[in-house]
Amino acid sequence: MRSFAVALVTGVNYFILFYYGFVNLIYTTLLLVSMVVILRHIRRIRYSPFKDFVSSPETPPVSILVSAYNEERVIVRTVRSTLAVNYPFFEVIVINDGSTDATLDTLVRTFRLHKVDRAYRNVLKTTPVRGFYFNPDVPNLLVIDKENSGKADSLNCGINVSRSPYFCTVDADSVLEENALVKLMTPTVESTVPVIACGGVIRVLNGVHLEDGAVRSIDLPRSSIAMFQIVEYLRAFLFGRVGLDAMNGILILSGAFSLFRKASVVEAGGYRVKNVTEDMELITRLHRQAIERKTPYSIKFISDPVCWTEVPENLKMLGRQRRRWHLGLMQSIVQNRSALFNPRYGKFGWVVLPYYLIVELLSPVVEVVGYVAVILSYLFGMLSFDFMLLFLALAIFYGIFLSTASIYLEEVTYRRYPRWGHLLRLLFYGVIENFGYRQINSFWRCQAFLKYLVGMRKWEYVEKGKRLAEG
Amino acid sequence: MFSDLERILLAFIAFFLLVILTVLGATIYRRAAALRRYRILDRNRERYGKRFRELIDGGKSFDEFSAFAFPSRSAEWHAVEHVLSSLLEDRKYESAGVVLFDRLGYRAYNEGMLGNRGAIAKSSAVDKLGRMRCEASTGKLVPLLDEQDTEIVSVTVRALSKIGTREALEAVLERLPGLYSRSIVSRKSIESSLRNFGPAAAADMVRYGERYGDPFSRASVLEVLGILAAPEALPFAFRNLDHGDPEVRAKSLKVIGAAGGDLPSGEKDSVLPLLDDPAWFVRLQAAKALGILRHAKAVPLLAKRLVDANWQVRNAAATAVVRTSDDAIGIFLDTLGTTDRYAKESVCEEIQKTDFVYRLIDNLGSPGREAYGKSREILRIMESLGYGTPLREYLKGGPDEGIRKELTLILQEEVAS
Repeated sequence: MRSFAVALVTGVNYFILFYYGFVNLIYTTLLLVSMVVILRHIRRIRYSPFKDFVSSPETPPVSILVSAYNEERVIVRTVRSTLAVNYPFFEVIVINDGSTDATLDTLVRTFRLHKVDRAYRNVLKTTPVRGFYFNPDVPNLLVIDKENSGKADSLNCGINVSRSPYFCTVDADSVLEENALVKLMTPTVESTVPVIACGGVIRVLNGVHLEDGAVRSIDLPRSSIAMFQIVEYLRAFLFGRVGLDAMNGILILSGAFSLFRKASVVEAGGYRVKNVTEDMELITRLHRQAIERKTPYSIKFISDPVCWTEVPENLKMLGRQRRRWHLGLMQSIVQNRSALFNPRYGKFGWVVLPYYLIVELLSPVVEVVGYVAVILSYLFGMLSFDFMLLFLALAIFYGIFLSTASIYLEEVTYRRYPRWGHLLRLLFYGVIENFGYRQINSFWRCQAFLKYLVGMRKWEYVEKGKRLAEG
Repeated sequence: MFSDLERILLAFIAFFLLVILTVLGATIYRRAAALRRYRILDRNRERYGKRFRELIDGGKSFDEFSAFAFPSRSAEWHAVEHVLSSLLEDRKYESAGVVLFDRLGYRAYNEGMLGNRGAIAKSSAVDKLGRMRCEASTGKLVPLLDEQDTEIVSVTVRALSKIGTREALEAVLERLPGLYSRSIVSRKSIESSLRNFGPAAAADMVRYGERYGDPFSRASVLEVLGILAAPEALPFAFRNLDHGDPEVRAKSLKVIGAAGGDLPSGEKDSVLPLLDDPAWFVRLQAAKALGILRHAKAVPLLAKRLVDANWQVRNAAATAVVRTSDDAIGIFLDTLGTTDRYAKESVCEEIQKTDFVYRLIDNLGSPGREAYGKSREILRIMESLGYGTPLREYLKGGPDEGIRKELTLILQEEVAS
C-alpha cells in the first residue's frame, strides 16, 4: 500500500514539475510578446486617428448597454459618465433587470424620464418588458424596465431595442473615460478585416476620485484586497490579454467594457442565459461561428481605452466573484469541447482553447494538488525539507517576477498612478500578493472546479466596494 | 550539502531574484527619469510658448526664430514641437505655426524619417507632416500610397487630407479603386479622410466619381459628397439614381437628401420610383431624402412604405409623412387599419417619437373639426395596441378639462371592448 502511495506521489510530483515548467514557459512567452506589442502600440497611439473619428460622421453609431440590478447607489454616476463620452453618435440603454431597490425610481427622478411606448421586437427571446422611460431633453438615454432574469437576458433585451450596428456593454458600477469608446471603436473603423468584438482595459475604481461621473484624480484604495486586485488587473490586462490578442486568441473580453458588432451577435443567438459568465461564452461562440462560416474576422483587445470599475473589498465577495469567473470559464470550455484539438478550427482549436483549458482552467487545481503532493512527499520522506522550501521559494519568486514585470509595463506605458507613493505601494503589493493572496485565489478557483463537478453551477451575487470618493 | 536538483532550483531562484531586483530598479529609474524629462519639457514648453507668441504678435520676421532651431530629438527640440503644434490649434497663430515647422527643421527631419524601414517610425513621420500641413511634402508622401503596409497607407491618406491641397486630393482619388481592390485601407478610414478636404473638393470628387467603373469607389465618393452636402454633386447623384448597383443608388439619394433642399418639384420626382426599389436600404434612403425634401407628391408612396417589410424603412417613412403632409392623420389612420401588427406598432411608435401624439391629443379639444374624429380614432387604436401612455400622462397633469374627459372616455371604451 505504501509503495503504491509512494509511486503515486512520485508520479504526481513529476507531473507537477513538468506542468509548472510548461505553464511558466507560456507565461514568460506571453510576457515577452506583450512587452513588444504594447511598446509598439504606445508608439502607434501618437498617430492614432481617434481624435478625427470623434467628429467624423463616418464613425458608426453605438448603443451603450448598461444592465442594472439593485444599483441605486451608483447607477446615476454610471449613466452620467456614459452620457459624457466623447463620441459622435451613441445612445445609452439602461436595462433595469427587475431591481428590488430604487434603481428605476432614481433614474426616473434624476433624468426626469417619462414612460413611453416602444415597439419591442423580441428577436433574441427575453423575459417581458414592463416599460420604457425616456426624456426628449436627454434624447440619447432610454431606460427599459423588465422582469428579473439575469444579466445575459437583460443584455439581449438591450440588443433587441438597440438601433445601432454596434453595441458596447458597460457594467452598472463602472465609469468610462471620456475617449474610451472612440478608442475602442478605432480598430473597427480602421481594420480591413471585420472586427466583431473589441475589449478595452478595466481598471480598479476603488480609491479614484470622481466628479460628475468623470474621473477627477487617481488615487489608490486603502483596502489591501482592492490593492491586490489592482496588481492582478495590471497583470491580466497588460500582459495576458495583449499577448493573446497578438494571435487573435482572445476568449475573455470583460463584460464591463466590450464592443460588439450587433449583426454577428444576433446571428450567434445573443447571450446565453444559462452561463454564469455570459461574456466569455459569447466570445467563444463568435470565434466558432466565424470559423465555421469561413468568414474573415478579428476579435481585438486594446490596452488604452479605460473603463474604471468597482472591485469587492472583502474576501467573501471576492471569493464569490472568482468562483463565478472560474465556473464560467469551465462552462464555456465544456460547451465548446468539440472544438478542442479539432483541425477544423485551426489555431482556435489547437492553441487558444487548449491554452485556456490547460493553463487557465487547470492551473489552480494543479497548484492546490501540488501543495498537497509536496507535503505528502515530505511526510513519506521522498523530499527533503530543503527541497520543499526551495520549490516553494521558486514558485513565489516567479510569481513576484510576473507581478513586478506587469507594474514595470504599466510604468513604461500608461503610468496612470502618478505619485511616487502609488508606485512604491504597487510594487510592495506586487511582492506580497504572492504570500497568501494568490494561494487563496487558487483555492477559490479550485472550489469552483469542484462545485462544477458536483453540479453546483449557480450565479453568486457579488456586492462591490462601498467607499468610493465622490468629489 | 545540496543535491543536483536542489542546486538547479537554487540557480533558478538566484536568477529570478536578480531579474526581480532589475525590474524593481528599472521601474523606479523609469519613474525618476520620466518625471525629470516631463519637468524639463513642461518648463521649456511654457517658456517657448510665451516667447513664440510674443514674437509673432510683435510682427517679427521668421528669421528671428532661428535661435530656436535645436538639435533634433533634444529636450528643447521636443518642447518647440509641442509649442508649434499648439500654435496650429489657435487660428491666430496657425499660419505662423505652419511656416515655423518648416523653418525650424521639423519638415526636413520628418521627411528624412520617411526613408526609415520601420512602419511605426515611418507612419509617425507621415502623421507629423500631415499635422504640420507641410504642403511642400505632398510629393514625398504621395508615393507612400503605393506601399503594401496598411498602416502606412492609412496614415498617408489621412496626412494628405490634412494637408488638403488639390495635388493631395487627386493623388488619393487617382488611387482609390486600387486601394479598395487591394483591401489595403478600410472604407471608413478613407471616407473620414476625404471629408477633411472640405466642400471645395466636391468638383474633383465628382470628376473622379464619374470615371470610376467600380461601384464600390463610386459609392464611396458619393458617401463623402453626401456628408459634404455639396450642391455641385447633385447632377452626378441624379445620374446615378438608376445605377445597377444598389449601394450607388442609396448613396446618390443621400447626396440628394443632404444637398437638394431647393430643388424644383420636377427633379424631386425622380426620387419617387426608388421608394419601390428592391433593396431595402435604397428605399430607406429614398424615404429619408423625401422627408428632408418635403415633397408633397411623395406622400401617397410614403404611405405605402408605412407597411414596408423592413422596420427601418417604416420608421423613415413615418417620419417623412409627419414632416411632409398636412393630412398625416388620415394617412396614419389608413395604415392603422391594416392587419400587420408590426406595421401598426411602428406607426404608433413614430406618432409618439415625433410628438405627433400631442397634436392628436390637442385635436380632441376641438370637437367640431374634421381632425377631431380621426385623431380620436387613432388614439383609440394606439391605446388598444398598448401605446396609450401619453394619454394617461395627460390625464394626470394635462391642462384642458375637455380633453381629459375625452381621454377618459377613450380609455373606458377600450376597457369595455
